Amino acid sequence: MPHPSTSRPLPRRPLRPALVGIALGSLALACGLEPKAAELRYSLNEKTIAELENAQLEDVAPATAAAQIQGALEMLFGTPSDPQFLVLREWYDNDQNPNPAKWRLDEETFAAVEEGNRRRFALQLELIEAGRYAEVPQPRYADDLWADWTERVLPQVLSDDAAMVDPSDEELGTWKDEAAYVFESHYPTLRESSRMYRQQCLHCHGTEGGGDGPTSPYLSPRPRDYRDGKFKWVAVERNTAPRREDLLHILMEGVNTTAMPPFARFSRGELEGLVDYVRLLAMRGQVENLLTAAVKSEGYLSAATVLENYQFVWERWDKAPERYVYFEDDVPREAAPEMIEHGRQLFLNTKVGQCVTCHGPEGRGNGESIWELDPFRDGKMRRRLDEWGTARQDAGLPEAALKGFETSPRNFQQAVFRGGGRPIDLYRRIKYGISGTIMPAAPAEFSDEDIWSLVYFVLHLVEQSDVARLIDAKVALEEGRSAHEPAAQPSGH
Amino acid sequence: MMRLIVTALFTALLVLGVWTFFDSTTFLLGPERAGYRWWWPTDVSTYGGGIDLLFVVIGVMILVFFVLTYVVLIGAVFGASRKSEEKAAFTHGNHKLELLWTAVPAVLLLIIAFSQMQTWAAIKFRGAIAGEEIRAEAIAEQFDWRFRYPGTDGVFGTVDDIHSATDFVVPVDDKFVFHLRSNDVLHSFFVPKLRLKQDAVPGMTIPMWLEVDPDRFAREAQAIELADGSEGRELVVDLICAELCGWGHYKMAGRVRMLSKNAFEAWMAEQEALRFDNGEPE
Amino acid sequence: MSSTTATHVAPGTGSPGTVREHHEHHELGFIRKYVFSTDHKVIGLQFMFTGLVFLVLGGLLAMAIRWQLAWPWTEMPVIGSILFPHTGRVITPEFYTMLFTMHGTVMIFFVIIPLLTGAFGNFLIPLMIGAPDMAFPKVNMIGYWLMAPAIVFLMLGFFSPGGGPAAGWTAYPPLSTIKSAAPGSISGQTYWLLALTFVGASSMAGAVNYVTTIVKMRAPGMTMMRMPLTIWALLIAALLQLFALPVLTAAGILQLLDRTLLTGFFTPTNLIVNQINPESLDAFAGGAAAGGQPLLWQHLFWFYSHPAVYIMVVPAMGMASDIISTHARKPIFGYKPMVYSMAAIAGLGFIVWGHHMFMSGMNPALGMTFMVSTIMIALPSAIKVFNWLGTVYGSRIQLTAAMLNALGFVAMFIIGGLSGIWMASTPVDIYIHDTYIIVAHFHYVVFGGSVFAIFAAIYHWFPKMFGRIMNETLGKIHFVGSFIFTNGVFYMMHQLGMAGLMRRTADPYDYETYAHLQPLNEFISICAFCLFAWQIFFVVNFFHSMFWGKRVGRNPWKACSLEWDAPSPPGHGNFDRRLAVHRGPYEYASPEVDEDFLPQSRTV
Repeated sequence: MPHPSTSRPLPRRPLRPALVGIALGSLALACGLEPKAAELRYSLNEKTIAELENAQLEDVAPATAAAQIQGALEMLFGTPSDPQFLVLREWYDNDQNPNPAKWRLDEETFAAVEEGNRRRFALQLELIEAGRYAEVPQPRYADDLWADWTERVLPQVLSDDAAMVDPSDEELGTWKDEAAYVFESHYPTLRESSRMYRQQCLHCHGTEGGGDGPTSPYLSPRPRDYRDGKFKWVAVERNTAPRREDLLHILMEGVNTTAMPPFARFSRGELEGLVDYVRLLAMRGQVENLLTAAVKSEGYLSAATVLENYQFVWERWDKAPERYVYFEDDVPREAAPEMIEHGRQLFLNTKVGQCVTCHGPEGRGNGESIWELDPFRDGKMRRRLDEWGTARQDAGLPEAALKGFETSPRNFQQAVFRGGGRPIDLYRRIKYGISGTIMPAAPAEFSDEDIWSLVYFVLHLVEQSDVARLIDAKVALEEGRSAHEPAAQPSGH
Repeated sequence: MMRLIVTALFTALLVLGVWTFFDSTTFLLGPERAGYRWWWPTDVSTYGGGIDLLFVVIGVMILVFFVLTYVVLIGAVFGASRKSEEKAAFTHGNHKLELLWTAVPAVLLLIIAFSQMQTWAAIKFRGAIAGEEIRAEAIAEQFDWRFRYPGTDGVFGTVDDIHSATDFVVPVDDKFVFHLRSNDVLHSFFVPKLRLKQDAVPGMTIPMWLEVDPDRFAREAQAIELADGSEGRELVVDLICAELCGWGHYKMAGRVRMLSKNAFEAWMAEQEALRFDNGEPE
Repeated sequence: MSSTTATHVAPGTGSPGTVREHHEHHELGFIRKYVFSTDHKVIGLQFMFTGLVFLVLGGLLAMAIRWQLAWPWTEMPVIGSILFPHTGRVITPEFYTMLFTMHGTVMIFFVIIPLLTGAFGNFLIPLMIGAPDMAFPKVNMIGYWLMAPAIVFLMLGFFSPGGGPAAGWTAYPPLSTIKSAAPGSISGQTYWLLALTFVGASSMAGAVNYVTTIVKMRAPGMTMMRMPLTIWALLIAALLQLFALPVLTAAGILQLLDRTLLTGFFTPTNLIVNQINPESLDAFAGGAAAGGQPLLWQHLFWFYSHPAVYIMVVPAMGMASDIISTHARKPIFGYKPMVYSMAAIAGLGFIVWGHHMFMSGMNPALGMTFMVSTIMIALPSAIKVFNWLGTVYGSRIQLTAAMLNALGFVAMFIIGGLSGIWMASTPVDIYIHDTYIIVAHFHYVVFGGSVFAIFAAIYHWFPKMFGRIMNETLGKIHFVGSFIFTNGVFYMMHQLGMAGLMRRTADPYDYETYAHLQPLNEFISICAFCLFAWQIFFVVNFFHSMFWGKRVGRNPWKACSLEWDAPSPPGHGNFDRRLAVHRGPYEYASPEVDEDFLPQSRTV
């Protein structure tokens, strides 16, 4: 207990005013709080570093080579706070600047973006319409738009919104029209998309898009590593760059049963901007791979090599729509039992196609071929790695860095397909395989009919195990009717 | 001096309380928005009126008690004697007063309790949807909403099911009954503008229903152009997960797209075609 | 060493003075005197310091939450630099889930309950009933020291792989039981369960003591109806703990078994969480049993946690009653109704737990029954409020720091209690369940209510604890600022809830429904930072006064209850003369004497 000493009243002079000062000072500090966004840098892939170290380069130290690659990438792609594509001469000449990508979008897409903007900025447009310019609130993920608004447009509309923007050009309209146009036609800059990525995506996908953000260790499957430019759920042939629409589709629909949710609540413009940014990250990763290979083979990095590889990667992405997959005839709407049986035979064939060796005899994804000898432990087996994992292993990364890249063939009894479960989606997967995984394209011997048989066999397996149908069937049994008749009563319990 | 400060504080709180009851714009600290009445998003359901009315009735009652108690409190603090020689009133209570302020609130509370049972039963009891067809399934999972409709064969789980991610498309006609399921952990189906909330429990299939009021829908819906050139109407509102389901709880957003009947039929036809789409570019 | 306690005193015959004569005068070492003490006052102070330290921790967690809500995904001071230096010093979503989980857990189990029942229960009960110590002093000591493993487990939770528990303080399965459901559920959740088990054991030790002491060890003349309301409140809270805690402990053990031994009490079949089916036999999942019900946890948990909220509020009510009566120099208006109300709140409190589960998927018919009982529980609380108003009306108020905080308690309890009526009605709950109206409601009753009552109690009983009085001016400044900022933080949360803003959302502003609510959230956060900073007045006052405060005698407030007859601070055995009680504890302004107070033990 406090020892008996004399009382000492709180000194009036220094202490109390000091306390009041501290309190008021904190108040002032609190009111002036202005949280910032930190500067980030892209770092090199650990695969790159490992490769350079194991490459035994003669003319240059691994650290120097790494710094050179880093510098080259920064020149080409910028930093997370200011991402920019380096503009090649011919793009500039042909008005094909990818900064921002709206110059490369087709009309339909741009119309959809404008439509989306009318919804997204509904509040702002409402206030502009009503002439309440000062009340227009700042929208999220649109800092450059906001800067343009506050610096260029707002002063003009506040002083005279009926004045013409350019008296010599009728088309541009008044400043009030311009105010609305600024919001309606907004297309995100890469910088805005990078900030949106930072808030929505980075904690899983990581700064460079390597799928290694802080949340990623807790996710199964791990988030996509964009840096090899491989994407699974696309509508193009295997090992081709994805189209914009494919990336947009993932953003809109998410990847079912993974931690990648749909982002459909965002506007088309925001999503297209994110697609641009993901493309930037993917291209950066691919260029990094190519530059690393160049350094390993040539021993040095020249400006010409850098630009060559940059152009090469861009061309692959630009040409992606040419490798789009579709089926020319009508998709069969249902399958006769013979077709399903034919599919089953193909599935079980261990010589051609060999579906069963990975997917297992009941389609549970537990076939034998997914196992291989573990190179880190004598005599033990481990799951085969997908292509991302194999690339990392080949670069010489340790076992801990290969976690999350194990192969896991689809379990058809779980009734969900990540890239979509429509017949055409399954057709694409079977015919062309899945990029980045051990799922190969179908052998040349398989005709389209064979593939549709397989599709319907798989869908048949899925149907059989679907929860709603199991419940329905159970209730149907109790009610004494066939499971295929719809229930008249709510079938819950 | 302290007395004045305390009186001022309590009075300010009283004023704040009463003021925010009636005025929803000043304290928003931001611009007003369409689609809101007072603080609440406007309701577009047929049954939400009961909820809103109950909220207002209880709100009025608690406002009255709030004002009464605060006036007495402020008055007591301000008016309490400052003279040091004077003693306070020596009373241990007043039996009549105790009875009065026990009985009156008790009666009021019981009235509130019993008057709302009908509203609750109408919304949540199975009887409300007896015999209705299940027209969709809402599946909650970490961290998205998936919906499916049974397609032309009327059976869930077949090839022709229509699947939708995020967007729950519902028509503006009679009760739309659907099942709510969860694949992994607890979630909750919350649509503020339809006054709808129900926890999605893994292992349970919970029947739910919603019904959009045509007049309120007409007031707020936007016109959209359908594929055949005719005009439909659409109102899109947020669907929010209302039960902690993990780190992605905050981004588990869905949308309820309410469509006029013709637009809904057009959508269903479009989805059915998309289901068997061959991907041919146009 | 502990033969100094008198456990054999029969009611009405105990003569603490006599017992004191039989004490051997032995010197207790520092450890026995201040660390492993069996003296209820020391134990009370130990709980108090522990509770106040955790109040700071809980407050810091709240500051982080408010930062995120005001400015989502921006650089967070301190935490960002320490924990997330490579990704822009921005917290992750799973970190946010841990923040609000631990904020709730710390505040409820390590602040409010230890402060109210542990600190004041221990300190005040023997003093106010005229007993020399608790009935079971060693059990009492063990009760405090059971908090040590609880604290250790809580801290371990923060540092476990995957981070601290992240399933909310409500820990609903399957989020909390399935390891793959949340990073915090990998191992942090197990530590949380262990911590709570020890807190429960600590509370039980205390509760047993309180009930026995109050029933068996009152001074002669102290009938039940002459006990101060604080004692009634602590008795009722102790009974609540005795009956409700075992259910939480059982539920916690079931969840612990689900997590460690892979039982399936709460796990339904056919789950696939983050790609993992808990029932599968692979190494990670381990082949858990299934076929359980998530709702079972909710019932068991809320069966305790609803009475828990009354454990958190009833002692506050009791202490506020005493403080108001003392500083208003007027007897408590309606002593018996006050007692019966507290008993009614406690009794009804056992049959309202389902109001936390209206939307849970339980049978809607239960919604009706719980709704009626919940609406009725508003009644005794209202009666208490009216009686407090009756007490201050026509009184001679002394606006001391203690009184100010007690009045603040009443003011904010009114708001918190009234908003509860919205929640009680099930159709309205369809809209407001899990929104910020709920957050506003419970923060008003727990922070505006219990914490302000704790402040009042500290200002009021500090002289008894330390023999010195806290500085009044600083106390007044502390109250004014805290009152303003508390309302600034929590009042507008009602409106946020009416707009539908969900709880536990790290970043709600991407929803159209919530996009316009960010400025208001920013305002609330700034008020919260100011509130936290303002507590410096209390901290400085508390520690300065403890060592250098103005010395006071036994009864600086001229109060009537028995504890003011003991020396300040009381020595071993508490009282230094024989005590007998002749009247109730609220004889202020009595016409029998000239002074405006007539202590319980004084003979006239």
